[in-house]
Amino acid sequence: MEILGYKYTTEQEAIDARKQCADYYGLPKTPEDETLYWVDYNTAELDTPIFWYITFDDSIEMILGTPETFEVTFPDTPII
Amino acid sequence: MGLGLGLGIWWPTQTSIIPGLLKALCARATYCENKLCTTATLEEIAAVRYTAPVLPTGLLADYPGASAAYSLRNLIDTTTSVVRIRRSSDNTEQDFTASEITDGTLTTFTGANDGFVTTWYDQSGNGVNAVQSTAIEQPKLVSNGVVELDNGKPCIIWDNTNDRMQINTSYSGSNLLSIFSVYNKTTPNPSDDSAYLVFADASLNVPDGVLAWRNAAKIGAYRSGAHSVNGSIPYDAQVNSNFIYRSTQVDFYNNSTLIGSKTASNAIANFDYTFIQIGRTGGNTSFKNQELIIYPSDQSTNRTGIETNINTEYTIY
Repeated sequence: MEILGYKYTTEQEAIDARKQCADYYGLPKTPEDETLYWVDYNTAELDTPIFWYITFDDSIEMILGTPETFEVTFPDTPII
Repeated sequence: MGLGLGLGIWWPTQTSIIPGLLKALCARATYCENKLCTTATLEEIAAVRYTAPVLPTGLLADYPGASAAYSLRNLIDTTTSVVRIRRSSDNTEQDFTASEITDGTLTTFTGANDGFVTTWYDQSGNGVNAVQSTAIEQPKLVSNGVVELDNGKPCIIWDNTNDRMQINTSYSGSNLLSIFSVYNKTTPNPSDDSAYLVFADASLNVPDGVLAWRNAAKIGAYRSGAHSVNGSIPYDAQVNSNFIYRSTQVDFYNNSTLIGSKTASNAIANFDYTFIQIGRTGGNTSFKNQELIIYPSDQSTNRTGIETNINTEYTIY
């Protein structure tokens, strides 16, 4: 399945990108708040080599830059 | 008029009131407990000795035993906050009671902005709240300063992109499961293959069970590679939708009417999950949700009572 977003070769890069977005939006606002991140990353665990990615959203383009299009393999069962 | 006896004692001339006076005197008694004695009327002693407990009221009091229960109304009168909201203007979060959703408190908090649900509090007493810690995946309760409504009652809107909430709870396979919900599957775009509830173990990509909408207004359970029930359900209509899983059969009801049953093994094989998700990870899940109650038991005998309680609140049918 074709995904528009940001692709990372290590999980740490994806974690760092997630933190960049959270920092930009000042999250978490207080330690008591439930909201920790602005966006989260996913794992393309069926692809070889495995990679990590963040799906594009307008709200993160100014933080993570121009997105790219790439293929992600999903299981035969529907994505849930 | 009284008759003076010369001793400073007043005595009523109306003898008809004497029996009442004597009765009052006789009704007084001395009550001792822990070496402390009190003289009082029998009624006063009874009041001290026994104070009737205030029993909780509401759907969950009438039909106890839910493993998780979410609503924008109080399902039991001991409930305090029902949701926690993040306002879009500055990401501040705050808890709200059911009455504060409708009395203006919530919209005063959000201003003319949006309000997203970070936590849908569990009212069952088990503390299994539905949560979403990622901002852009949170469903919405307030749009531009206005509380979202369905049929005149507040509702949470799941968008078609990525909204979902997770519930960490465990259940292990007695094959008994009853689910009561009020939702509205809004028009699909671009696909109508979408999940409402996902029951999963460690990996959401291999669900143990899914309650989903699919192809031409069908609703059913997806499991082990097959859709097992296909009763018809209207889009863009609020429904009281219920699912009763028993050891040999699963029944689907909409608005108290049976719309499908299945005895296929893949529909009723052992449920064994540690995780429930409301909404679908991959999007294509646009719906409104007002109530979701999950019992780890067969509630067939209580089904009509629970449905009646729900319909009394929402006037769906």
